Amino acid sequence: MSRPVSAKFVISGGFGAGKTTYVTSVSEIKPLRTEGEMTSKGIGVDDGTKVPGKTTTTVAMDFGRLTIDESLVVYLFGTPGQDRFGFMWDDLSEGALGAIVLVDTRRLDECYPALDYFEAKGIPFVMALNQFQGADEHDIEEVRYALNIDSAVPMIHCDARKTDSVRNVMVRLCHHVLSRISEQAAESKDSSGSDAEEVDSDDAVPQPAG
Amino acid sequence: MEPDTDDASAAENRLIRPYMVTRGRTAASHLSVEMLVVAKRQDAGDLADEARRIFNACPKPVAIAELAARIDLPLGITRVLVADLVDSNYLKTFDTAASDDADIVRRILHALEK
Repeated sequence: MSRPVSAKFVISGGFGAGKTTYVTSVSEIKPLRTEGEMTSKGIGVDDGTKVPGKTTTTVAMDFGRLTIDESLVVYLFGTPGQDRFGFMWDDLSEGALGAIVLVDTRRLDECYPALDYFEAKGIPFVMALNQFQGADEHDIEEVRYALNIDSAVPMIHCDARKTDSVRNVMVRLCHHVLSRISEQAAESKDSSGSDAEEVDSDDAVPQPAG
Repeated sequence: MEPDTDDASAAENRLIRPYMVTRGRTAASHLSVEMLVVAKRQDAGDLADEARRIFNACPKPVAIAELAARIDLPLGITRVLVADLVDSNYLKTFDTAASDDADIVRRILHALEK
């Protein structure tokens, strides 16, 4: 049996955008919740955190799991909503394959922190406009214009309550991640001939172990 | 919970203690939340309290975040204890996918499109 590998995606968006609903719809298990601590790395907000070494605040995050095959398991982590927990976002996003920014079309501007964050970190992401009951079905191009989103960023409608719909978002994200990977491989091939051999794993001859 | 402790009360503060004893060893921060860990041996030996709970909760590979949630320990503490258990040969870790691993993404895509 081959050694198991794990991978992760991150789902983000403003408060109440439907992150936990989304995780619930895609996860094979009831979403789990764990608490991250407000450690010294996150200091600077509360007076209580000025005391060195004290952990005064915890932040909960919900996540789900999707078993892909016998040796690959994918976790989907919802980022805590508050901007001030940015350090926790670093922890969750480090090594993520990609991210989903869930947009509540009634509160468009709330997704800005997530957009800025993933752009700055170079993490490929798609934007999913969550359709709430009673909310207008915003035209995608309208939202794209309102938020000033580059046309290279995929943007689609979704219903976070529906498994088919959230899986569709994941599919779009995977395609987007794959094109980003090949773009980057091509770029490094252009910029450096000697490094390109290591980057382009598809054409690589299997390496001897060790 | 106050970490005010001396030698006599150290045993009562095991949730705090690992932060001190792991200093200079496996950097807990290098263990990703999605990293799978599994028990390397049959029995928990003389492990105490939280360390024993962690060990007992991973007879099969499980991600560190899932482990933390299942035994209801904060993520940071779980991570430090896992790092300790890896150093002391109770647990082993598995690789996490590199973010530019196209093969992994294709496998996920394939599973999603089924």
